[in-house]
Amino acid sequence: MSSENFKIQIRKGLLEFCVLQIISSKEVYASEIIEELKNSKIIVVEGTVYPLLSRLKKSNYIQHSWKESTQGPPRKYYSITESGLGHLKELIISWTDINSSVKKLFKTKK
Amino acid sequence: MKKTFTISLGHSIFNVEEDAYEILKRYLDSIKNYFQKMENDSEIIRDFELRIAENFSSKMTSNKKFVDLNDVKDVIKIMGSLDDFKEIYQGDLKSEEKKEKKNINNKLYRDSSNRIIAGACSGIAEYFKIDPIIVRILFVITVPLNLIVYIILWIGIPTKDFDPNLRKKLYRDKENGIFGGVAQGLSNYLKIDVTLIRVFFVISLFFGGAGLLFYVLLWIFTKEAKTIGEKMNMSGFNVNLSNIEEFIKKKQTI
Repeated sequence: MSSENFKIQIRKGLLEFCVLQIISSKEVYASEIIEELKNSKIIVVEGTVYPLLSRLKKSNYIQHSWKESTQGPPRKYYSITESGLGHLKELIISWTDINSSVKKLFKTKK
Repeated sequence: MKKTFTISLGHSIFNVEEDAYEILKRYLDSIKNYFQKMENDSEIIRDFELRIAENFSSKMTSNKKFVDLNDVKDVIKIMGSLDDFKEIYQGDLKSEEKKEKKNINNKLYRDSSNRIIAGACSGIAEYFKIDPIIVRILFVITVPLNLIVYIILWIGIPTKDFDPNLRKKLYRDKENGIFGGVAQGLSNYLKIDVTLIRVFFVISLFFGGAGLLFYVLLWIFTKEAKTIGEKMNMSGFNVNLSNIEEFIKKKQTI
């Protein structure tokens, strides 16, 4: 397993978590989500976000509405649902758990 | 001078150069097919188009009013090609994909998506991954014996819709051909040296002329590759960055 593959797997696992986190803070449209993910280097190509958004919507974690934009065509804004917030909380708990256990593991090694 | 197409993409209108249009169309088709299969959600492709439109819009200035090949290449680089998307399904869908592949390979179907009578020839062609026109002509040459075979196939095999976009197409390549470009077209299609095919045709002249008949029928029933799209279909074209780069390079040398 190369380090590249490692990165891919980690990113893939965290993508859903990060997207939900971004949407939970405010109503955002797809391009904003993509910008944030790109800035934090969670995604490499933009296209990978769309299937994920589609799945999150199917699971009823997020919803969207169309809004007029001052420049260009109307935009699709995403927001988080009640069950999405619940799901995000669970994810945060799991992530904190994993994160602290990994940290602990590295501390004892030293 | 270059021909452009006017397209509507994600609520916006763009003028796209012909070669850029062909690539973009192929790209969107491949993605549409893939996500339709994986997620069964047509909204993904709409969002995709919206984002591509945003991207194109940001590239247009008062001096640049049309989308060219480089713009399309950039967009594909940003959005990602099929190989990138396969990555996200790594693991969880591998087994399913394999299953489907196996099904297609092992079973003979009549092809209901591309048929003249009952799709038997086309189904055989799909099975062997060759162009239906070849099977059809072989069938016609050997009538009446094959008429019986055809009817048996018609009755005996179930139909199935195959994905037409995954199919390579046989064209005559007149640019590089001697007479009608049939041999060159076959060579592009089968990825065999054209000389070999020509020798085969010439030799067959001495054995009752079946080769000549085959040649003439192929000449009549295949189209000449004229547009850029048809030329790309000739040897199969999978939209990814390295293929597009190769395509651009080839264009520049011409």
